[in-house]
Amino acid sequence: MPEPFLQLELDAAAVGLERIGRLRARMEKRQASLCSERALAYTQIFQENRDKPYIIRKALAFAHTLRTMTLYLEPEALLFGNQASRSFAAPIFPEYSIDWVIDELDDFEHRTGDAFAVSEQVKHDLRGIQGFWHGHTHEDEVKRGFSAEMDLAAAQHILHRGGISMSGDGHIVPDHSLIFQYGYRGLIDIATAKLAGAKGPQRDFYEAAIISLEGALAYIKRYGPLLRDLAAHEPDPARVTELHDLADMADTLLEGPVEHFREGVAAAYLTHVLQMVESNGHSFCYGRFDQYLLPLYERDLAAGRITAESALELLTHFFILNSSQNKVRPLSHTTFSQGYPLYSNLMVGGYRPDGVDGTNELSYLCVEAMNLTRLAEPNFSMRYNMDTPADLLRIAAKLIRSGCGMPSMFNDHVAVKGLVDLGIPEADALDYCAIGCVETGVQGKYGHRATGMTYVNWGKLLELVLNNGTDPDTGIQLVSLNGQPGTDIDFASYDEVWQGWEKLLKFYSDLAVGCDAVCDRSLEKYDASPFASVFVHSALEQGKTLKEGGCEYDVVSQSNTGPSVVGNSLAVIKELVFGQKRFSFAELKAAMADNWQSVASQRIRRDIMRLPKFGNDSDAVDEIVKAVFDSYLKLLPEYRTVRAGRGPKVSRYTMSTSNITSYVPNGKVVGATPDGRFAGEPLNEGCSPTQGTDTSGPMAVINSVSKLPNDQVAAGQLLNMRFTPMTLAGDENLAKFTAFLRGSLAKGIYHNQFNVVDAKTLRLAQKHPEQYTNLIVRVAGYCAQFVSLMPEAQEAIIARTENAL
Amino acid sequence: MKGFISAFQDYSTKDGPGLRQTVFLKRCNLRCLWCCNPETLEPGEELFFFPERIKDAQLALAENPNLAQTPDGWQLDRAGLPDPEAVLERNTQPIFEPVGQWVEAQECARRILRDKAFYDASGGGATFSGGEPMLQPDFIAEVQGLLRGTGVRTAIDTAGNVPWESFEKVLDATDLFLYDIKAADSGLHKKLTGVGNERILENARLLGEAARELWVRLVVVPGLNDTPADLGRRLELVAHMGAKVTRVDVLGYHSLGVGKYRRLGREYPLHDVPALDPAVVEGTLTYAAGLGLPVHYEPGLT
Repeated sequence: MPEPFLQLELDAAAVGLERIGRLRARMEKRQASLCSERALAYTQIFQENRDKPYIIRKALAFAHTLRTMTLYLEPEALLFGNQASRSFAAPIFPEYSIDWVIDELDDFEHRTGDAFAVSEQVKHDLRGIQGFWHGHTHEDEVKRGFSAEMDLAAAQHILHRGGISMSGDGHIVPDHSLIFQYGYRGLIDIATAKLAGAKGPQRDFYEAAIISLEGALAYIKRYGPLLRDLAAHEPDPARVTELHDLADMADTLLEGPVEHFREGVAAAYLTHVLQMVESNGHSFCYGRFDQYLLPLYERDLAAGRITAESALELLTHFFILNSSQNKVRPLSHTTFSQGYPLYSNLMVGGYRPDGVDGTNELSYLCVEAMNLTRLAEPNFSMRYNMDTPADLLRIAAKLIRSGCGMPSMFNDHVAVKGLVDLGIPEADALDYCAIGCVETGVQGKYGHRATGMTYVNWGKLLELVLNNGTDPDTGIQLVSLNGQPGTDIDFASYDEVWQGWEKLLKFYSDLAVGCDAVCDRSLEKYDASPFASVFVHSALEQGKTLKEGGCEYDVVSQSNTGPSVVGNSLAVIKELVFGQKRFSFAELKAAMADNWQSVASQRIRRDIMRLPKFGNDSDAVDEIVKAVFDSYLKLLPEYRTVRAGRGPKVSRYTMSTSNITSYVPNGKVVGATPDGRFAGEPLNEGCSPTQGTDTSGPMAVINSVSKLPNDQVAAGQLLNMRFTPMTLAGDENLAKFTAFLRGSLAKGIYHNQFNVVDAKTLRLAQKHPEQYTNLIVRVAGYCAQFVSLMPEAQEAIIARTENAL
Repeated sequence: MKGFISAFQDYSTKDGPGLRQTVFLKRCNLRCLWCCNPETLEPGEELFFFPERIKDAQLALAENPNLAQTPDGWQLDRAGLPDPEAVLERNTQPIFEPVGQWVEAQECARRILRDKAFYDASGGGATFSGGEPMLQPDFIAEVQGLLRGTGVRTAIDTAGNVPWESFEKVLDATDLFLYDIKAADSGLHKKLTGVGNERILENARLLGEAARELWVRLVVVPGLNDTPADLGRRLELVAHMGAKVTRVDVLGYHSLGVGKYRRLGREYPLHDVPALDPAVVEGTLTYAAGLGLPVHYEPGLT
């Protein structure tokens, strides 16, 4: 590394760069594996406590795990805290689902992406507990709840019942200031006081919260002896001092308020790790890290307890350690979310609740820390607005230019308006953060995934519209457009096609909301998460978990994949079939069925490809894509979550295009589409133009996207762009790029993220993966190691239009 | 009125300050040996040919009587081609792409205006380039008229080989001229571009007198116009153009246009261009600085 820092003038010698280099090198080469300790501990406790309420059993099992699991310290690290017995080992969560784990046990290590090593002992352990859990998991409960129609819609590949149908929810951003103010001990005291007057489920909640927090405190204390033992065997005196300091911190951390920067970072990290022992949801996020840590940072800096350099060193260790956690998903879900993602979002910049821009020294230090980290986690994001200092945008652009895909940029003006329009008070809306990928919510007040409940494959939905509601692959028809069975249908006008779209969209969206409810009802029991709940308002006040309605805002969304493919396709039908009458609907359908192979089909496709597509600032097609968004938005006011009226001040559905890698598997099951897409090719990603169809340049892309109802896609509108490194090289180009960001802000773009890497490099990485373990790419709303992705996802990333000059 | 345009280029970063929309006007009255935009030279609509896109050889042959498959690859007899529209219509495979379209001034202004947020954020604007945009001054003037009052700033990227009267048509509405001086010696200029440079230098002088902001561009092609003597004289000419020259770009040669010649069925005029001597660049920059010129160097990319 020739220049260690992007922008700040710091004393490099004081940052411990060599040690950071070793830490991150170990993390880059780490191997994923499975760990059975949590699964065994939970099994034991569940077997011993059959008569207790479920939430108590979960709390007891959590605490028992924390008291007994193997602890280790990441070599040389300045922080402790581990999720499983080894670095990058994924614990197993049998209460959520177990059968797929056993079914895939021998296949994990042979996956083409997201592989896991599994030892024979772990296989033996897990096989041994399957019988206890089989039939009694969240997944089983969910399966029992699905209607026949829901199952058929899933068989049609329209609905993908995602992570929450067999694992926990996650998507929680604790109120870190609350944790700092009380410590876990103070929260125990609050729960204990509340317990006195509580009855029934409330009483169970407070008891479970106390058990969980006590377990967490015991876990932290267990590090004291471990660290002192390490110190006893450590030859380097400087390291011995560090280990003793860490041990002293372990003795008292979170037993009271958190008053120092070092403890604050440790508390945020441990809370994160512990949530990932409690639940196998993901997107446990740090929220507005530079805001809530600032008072501790400033105080310690003034007192001379830390320097900017020592703070940067600690932050970098903390960032790097986020790659030591892991999550295992079934193969069918992995294709939707590749690259071992945890979506641990950490956000900097943006307005404070009082409307003043909150950019501060820590915002910059975090960018520098991410630059030193260059790993896929944490998922690093930045808020910006008209008042963001030019300096902060510049350092962000420098990090983007370095090619690590971060930070992704969020437009305060659009995101805040989206939340305010949902009924969230402005001061809270101004305190939003990313929760996972591009989904946003208010830190410490949201309790559920803002997006990614049930996935709806809009590419497939379109295919059904053109086939009279029948899926050509399976022959399944749940709704007929013309009253007849089968795939035959003719349309007399474009309006009829559009009506068909609206009809099926409503039918399947209703069904998807039903699926969400099935999952949510089951999660209420199986994903009770008393530990995570106490950090979010107002679970402690109400005496109920987040899943029971113990949060202030309950705003959720599904994930709708492929709006650009749908809009482009409808534009083709409107213009070429019914406008110019270049070919008939029957001819178009035959050409699609033929996957554009015959000469006649090719000629139809040729005409199609000449029609402008979304992303080229062409009003005709852009208006149709907008109409596709609007057709979904207008359904939302009708939808309710299962928590409506049970506690949250705002409880409703919104929209999101945060669809992680689902555009790849969703595309795989969709035949050729009228936009000229071949069968099986990926759908478009988020609200981005379909890969390779935006040929007019990045400003045209922004202009097209700016026509969408971005401020109503309040759970996140994902736009992904790729620039070549030379477009950003040098100071002048960097300034032009930051101006491009400001232009996007003015244009009302919700979010933008960038891959700065050329196609040649990506091809080389495919060929020589071992040499490119450091290549981090933007996948969708998150980053991943390029070489860890499956080949199809790699191709989709390469196909993204490269903006080069 | 309409202008004949080869392309609009979004996110242009090399054609003036800030982020720009560059309008490439088609037709040129110079024939610079190193030209990297050969598709902007001729006045008519042309076709790019992409033999690598031929997936079905039999189909391509059946649809194109003037196409042949030889051991050296695909050969296209352009002399026998019908008009571009007919070629595009008869081909099933996307092996031809047209270049050159008549665009109404109104439409051109509308496209430019769409990117105003980016111009405002970056201090950018629109640039008319080419080809030689000054061969269509009435069109440019009309577009500029339509942009009046919108706050969009415009630049013209010209080689200057047109009657001064053409400049008079756009003088008032143009915020910046990007002005090429390709050689100081007129004989050398004629050898490299097909025309002498007397009118070009005279127009440069008049633009300086008219106090129009100028960015002067000095392209340096190794072996052709990279002698310290000619470069020095070019810089001296620039120094005499006055204080409105706010930037001098020394542009290194690049060969990024080579593929376009092949796609147009033309020979690339240059072969085996040696690498630019760093000492020449350094000497040029030092000399320019000594003359008080605000000089920048943009290395070529090969």
